[in-house]
Amino acid sequence: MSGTGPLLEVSDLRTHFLTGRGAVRAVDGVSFTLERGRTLGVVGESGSGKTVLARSIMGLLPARNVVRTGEVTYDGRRLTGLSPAELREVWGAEISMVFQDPMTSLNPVVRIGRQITETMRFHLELPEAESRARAAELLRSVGIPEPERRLRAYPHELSGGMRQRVTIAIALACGPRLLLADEPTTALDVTVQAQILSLLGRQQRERFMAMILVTHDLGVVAGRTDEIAVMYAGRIVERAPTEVLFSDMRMRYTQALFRSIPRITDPGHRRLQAIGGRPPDLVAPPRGCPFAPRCRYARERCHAEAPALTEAGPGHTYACWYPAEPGEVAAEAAALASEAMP
Amino acid sequence: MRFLAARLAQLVLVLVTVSAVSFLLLNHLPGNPIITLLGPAATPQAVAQLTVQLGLDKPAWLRYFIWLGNALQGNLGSSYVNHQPVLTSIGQRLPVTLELLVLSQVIALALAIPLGIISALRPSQLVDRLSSGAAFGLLSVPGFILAELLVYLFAVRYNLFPATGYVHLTEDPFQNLRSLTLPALTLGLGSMAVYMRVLRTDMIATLQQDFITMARSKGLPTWWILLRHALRPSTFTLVTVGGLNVGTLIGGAFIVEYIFQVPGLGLLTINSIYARDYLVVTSTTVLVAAGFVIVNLLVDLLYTFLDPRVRSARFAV
Amino acid sequence: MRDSPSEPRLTEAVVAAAAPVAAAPGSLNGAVSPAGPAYVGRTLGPGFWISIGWVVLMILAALAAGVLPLQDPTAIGDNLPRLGPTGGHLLGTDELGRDLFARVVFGARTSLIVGFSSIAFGIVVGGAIGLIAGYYGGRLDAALNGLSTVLLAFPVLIFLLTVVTFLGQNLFDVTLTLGILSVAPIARIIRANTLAYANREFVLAARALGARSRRILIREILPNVLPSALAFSLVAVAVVIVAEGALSFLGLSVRPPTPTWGGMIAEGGQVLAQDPLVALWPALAMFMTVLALNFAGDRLQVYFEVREGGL
Repeated sequence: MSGTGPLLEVSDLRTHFLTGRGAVRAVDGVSFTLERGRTLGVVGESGSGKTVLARSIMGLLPARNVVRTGEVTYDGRRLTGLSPAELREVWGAEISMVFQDPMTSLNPVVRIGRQITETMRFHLELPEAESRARAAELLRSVGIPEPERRLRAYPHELSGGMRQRVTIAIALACGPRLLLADEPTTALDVTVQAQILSLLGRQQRERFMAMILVTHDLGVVAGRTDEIAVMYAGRIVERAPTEVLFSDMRMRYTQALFRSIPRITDPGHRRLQAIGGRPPDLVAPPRGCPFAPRCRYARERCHAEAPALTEAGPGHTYACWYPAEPGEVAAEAAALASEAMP
Repeated sequence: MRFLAARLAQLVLVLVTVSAVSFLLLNHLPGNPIITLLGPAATPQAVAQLTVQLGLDKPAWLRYFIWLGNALQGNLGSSYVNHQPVLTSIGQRLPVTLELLVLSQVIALALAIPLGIISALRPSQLVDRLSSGAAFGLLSVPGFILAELLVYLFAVRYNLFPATGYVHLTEDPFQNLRSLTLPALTLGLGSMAVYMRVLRTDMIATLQQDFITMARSKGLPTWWILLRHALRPSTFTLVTVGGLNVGTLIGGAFIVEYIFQVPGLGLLTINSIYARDYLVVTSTTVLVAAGFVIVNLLVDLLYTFLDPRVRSARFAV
Repeated sequence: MRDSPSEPRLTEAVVAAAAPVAAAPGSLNGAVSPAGPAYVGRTLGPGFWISIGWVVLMILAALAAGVLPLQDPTAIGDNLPRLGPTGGHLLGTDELGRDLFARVVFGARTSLIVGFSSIAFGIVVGGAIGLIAGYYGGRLDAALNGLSTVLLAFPVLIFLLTVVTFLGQNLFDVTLTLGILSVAPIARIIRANTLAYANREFVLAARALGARSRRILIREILPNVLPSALAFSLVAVAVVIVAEGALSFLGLSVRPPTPTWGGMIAEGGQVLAQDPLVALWPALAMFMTVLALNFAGDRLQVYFEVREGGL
């Protein structure tokens, strides 16, 4: 069962929310594979469907008014076909999730210790004393000082960064092989963000865990992921190994994202390059490329026909009719950097 | 704990105000206890004599301070009707009323909590619709109508429970509970309706919170999530409502005692108002007001126990 | 993005900032608050209209009681209680042979007059107090708050019983007493509603435009507080009807032979074993009326609350 084949296979996953206005196509045909121990970064704006994707992979969706189609296979097992009881055995033990805001994802009236030990109690059936010992050890490994004392603390007694470390400890408690981190640093101070990301990276390497890191910030995934998938309007519009993406991005949306990141090497008073317009209405997505209305390179074909995924190199696919030239974006960034040098 | 001190001060203030107001109010009622006692054929001398004897010749405000002074020493005066010391009467009646109240709330919570949880878990489905509808209906039934309905169903049609006749707890516990069933049910069903709706609303809101999704994602079983994660945060409004409900509850208890002739504080008070037995009424009024404030204080303290965030805020070192 | 917005633009920008989701520029209609057509997609439902229909029916019946072709509700006959339209008694007669249908209709008169009048009084007085306390805040608010805490601690029933006995058992005094008792709770609720609005951006905006407090109270806050006050008052009327019912049940409301629902229920309670219907008809009438008022008030509250969520 283990050791061979990709850990996670997602095939044409679609998640539609049925609302009064119609079906919101939050995830609209996503396919990818993830190997054991590898990290995938999923990048996109708000409304791109990245959070729904993470939850759809897990199966953590509302019970009503949701339609999910497609296949999700974890370690050879069809997750999409499991009953709720079977799924509960997978959640926490094999696949864990770290949520965005630790203030709301931790129960404010339950002590930290119990929020960690309860997973171990149900999945590993450990006796109380051993659970607590392991919980203290987990807290130590995520960098929380005086772990034994903290076990009795309540979430509001800790700082934001500490709380997120606790959520990570909870997620790691039963030794999952896949971790879904949904914007784990968005709700945190900038200074703490780097610490948390390093912690995640370290834990992932030590445990040989696969990880999907969902974020809206390209900067977060640079240098911390093996692969990056860029999402827009519920679809993956470009996917590549990380260095390849940054040196050779093709799809115009990725380019726009990249350009919008302000850099310290930029010349002073340079205008921020925001992406104008808004994401498309997911109830009635436009006929052609979903990014076309906002793309400055869009031409007639873009509005008429949705581009198919083209391969640009090994492991590098994109969906664009008029992509950037190979290396175009990297050259532009380099030129800009040298411009700022005295 | 400045918090507790402030609340105790409030309690004292309320007690003094309530006692003063009720004392003065009662003394302006038409009708004279003397006449009620002696009958309309009483001679003027007898009336005058009894008036002086009972101290009713002095002005109201003076009598109030005399009463207050005595009260602080534990002497609440005696009933005009049967000369029994008020303190004794209260001592006899209070446990009965308390038992009635406790029983009613036990019934109310035993029904409301499970129904509230199930309704919140599966909103708009069968259990929810039925219990929400029933709760709404119950809320609209005045207590005395419900009492008569229960009497009709369980005492007249099907002779299961007695309509009147109270048996003391020490005499026969089983009969005691049986004689209190209908009164406690009348009060309890009304409270249950309120509690169930409140709990349902709160729980629906709690279940939408992020930490519940997180608990689900940990693979925890549903019953554990409901009882150990969702229930406690959902009880806050319930506890508040419970505290506010005390006033209505006590009023309802009075009427229920009257209907079922349960010898508690309520029956005593109502009869005393009819008989213009001032001292008794003043004392029971003050007692009820004190009860109200104390219960709300307990409710407040309960928050501290239930919600650790409040605990830190209030008792921060 | 403008650099230096002129006065009217400031208002719109402030409102737009406060309502990023729903505010459409066209909905500003002179007043600064976003009191536009925001009750979208929510209907009151057939239940609401049925309830209102019942209440209106009762009101009409009560008002027209004198001119309707009813039996004399106080005429004691020698008829035993019996049911059916025979003999002209739609609902039968009670122990004293009085026509039940007429008594129920006349009883409605008492209950409804007491209910609506006392709450009207309570809303006017309590509403004014609540608005002022909520808007101006400060020591005035704290004082009123303390006062109402003491007032609310006073056992309502005892107060009611003693005052009614004191003032007299007639329609006016009973109504007045209940009205006065309703002032404190109503003021509290209106104050809470006012507080919710007093700190909103559009009030700040109005102040920034130089509007005086009284104008703000009347033109901005009142129209927002009024809808939920209306919804709440329906429920309050139901509460008063029940309270009056309890009073008349204990024999402390309007004196006989004026029929009251509570009084009829008490009389019927004496003969439950022999003829439960005597108590049933007034009980049913009271229950339906209270239910209708509660339901309508509840629906209305939900209806107005939806607008809150959207903003």
